[in-house]
Amino acid sequence: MYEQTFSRTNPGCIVFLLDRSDSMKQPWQSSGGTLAEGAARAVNKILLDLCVKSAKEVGGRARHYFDVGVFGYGACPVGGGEGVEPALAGQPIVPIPQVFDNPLRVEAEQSVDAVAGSRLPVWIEPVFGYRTPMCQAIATAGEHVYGWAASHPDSFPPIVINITDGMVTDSPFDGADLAEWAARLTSIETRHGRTLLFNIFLSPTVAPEALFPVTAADLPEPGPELFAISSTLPASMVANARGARVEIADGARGFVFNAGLATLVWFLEIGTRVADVRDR
Amino acid sequence: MTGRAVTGRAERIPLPLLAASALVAAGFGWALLFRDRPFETTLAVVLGSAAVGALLAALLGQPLTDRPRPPDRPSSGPGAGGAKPQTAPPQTGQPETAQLVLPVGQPAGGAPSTGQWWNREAPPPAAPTTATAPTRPAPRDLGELRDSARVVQCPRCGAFRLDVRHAGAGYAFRCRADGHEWTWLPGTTWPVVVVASRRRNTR
Repeated sequence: MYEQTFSRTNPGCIVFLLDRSDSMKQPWQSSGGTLAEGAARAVNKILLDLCVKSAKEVGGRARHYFDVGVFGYGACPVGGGEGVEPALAGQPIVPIPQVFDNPLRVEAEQSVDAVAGSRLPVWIEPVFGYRTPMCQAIATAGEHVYGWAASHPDSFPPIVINITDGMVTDSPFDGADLAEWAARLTSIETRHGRTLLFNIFLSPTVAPEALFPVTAADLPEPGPELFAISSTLPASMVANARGARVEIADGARGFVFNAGLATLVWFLEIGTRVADVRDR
Repeated sequence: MTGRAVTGRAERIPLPLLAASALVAAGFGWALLFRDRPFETTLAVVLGSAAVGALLAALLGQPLTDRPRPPDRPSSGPGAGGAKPQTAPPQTGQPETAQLVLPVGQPAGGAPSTGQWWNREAPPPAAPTTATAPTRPAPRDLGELRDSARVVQCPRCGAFRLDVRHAGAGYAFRCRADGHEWTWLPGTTWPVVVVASRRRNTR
């Protein structure tokens, strides 16, 4: 299980659930920006990383190794009001070549840890407002993830990464609480395993980072709940992490608390890397 | 950038109601306490009471007039979308975040019209993947390549190190070993290659 590589025949599916609630306006550690800005920046970086992985030659066009989706929940900048909204040009799941060709803009990168070069394409804008309808986000994204899995039974299972800073405000939603929604989402499977749900818990407070933990001990609320719904990292990802000299225990969950930008990008790289893409 | 939908108060307090409430409150205060006081004192109290009365009337009257708009009324906020607004619970306690919001409902764009995906059966294992199958050119016929390929040698010395260029419909060759030049047209026979053994020549 979880051994399939990404290829054009069997592309991968990576979906981000992006908290756009009002509390995401809080400052993010010492970055000088808000949590919303940090989260959007990390997602933009990992989208660029996926584009670079999908281009076989420098400067070449991205090939269809991935399908990507970003669902914002909380404020809906396009539709207005509160709810869940696809954040990639209004499309729920988009092939990576289409992502590659359609950034909102390209801006200069100020950080020294740029993924590729000093110019960073921007696909996702930082937005915040309203409450945190996380359950509805899973329900909405789950519909599209289900459809994707049904049409890609031989692909690596979908990877869903939830980036949030706080408490869910719509649990129970439609008769099911957050844990039930997460269980429904991770019950979607391909021949190579069940959907993986990873959680990134951002916090404005100064606290030690917790990266790929095996226990929820010492996590502030709602850390234990988010930890509980996070999938255990499959062996292929554990091997990737150890290959990158990350100390990681067996049974580690796809969860990170209080990550800075570098750790967050690192988490996303490990969480989205199964193996090198295969040229077929 | 946040795109928040801010809807204003539904309706204002009617002015006649405000004035009547203020006058009633002022008269009530004057009748109770200041009938035997000087005129200035009475006037000050009446005006003060009127102001307090107006404020109370506004506060008491607001819940009755802050009703939801009828569905067919045009909305004023960018994200109102014609839906029924309701007050959002305070989240962080900061005034700028308290606002009227839309109910959690149908998401904009790409939302499933009917949910229940979690109750469906598992995706069929043998579903076709034609949507993502890459289109590949037909493999090249190697037999054709074999027939069309030609290993050329200098007809005079048998060397393989040749320069070649197009010359009209054919090709012009020059041997780098002995400088011999010749031309060849496709379809014609290749010049007979006469190769003398180096050992025999050196004897």
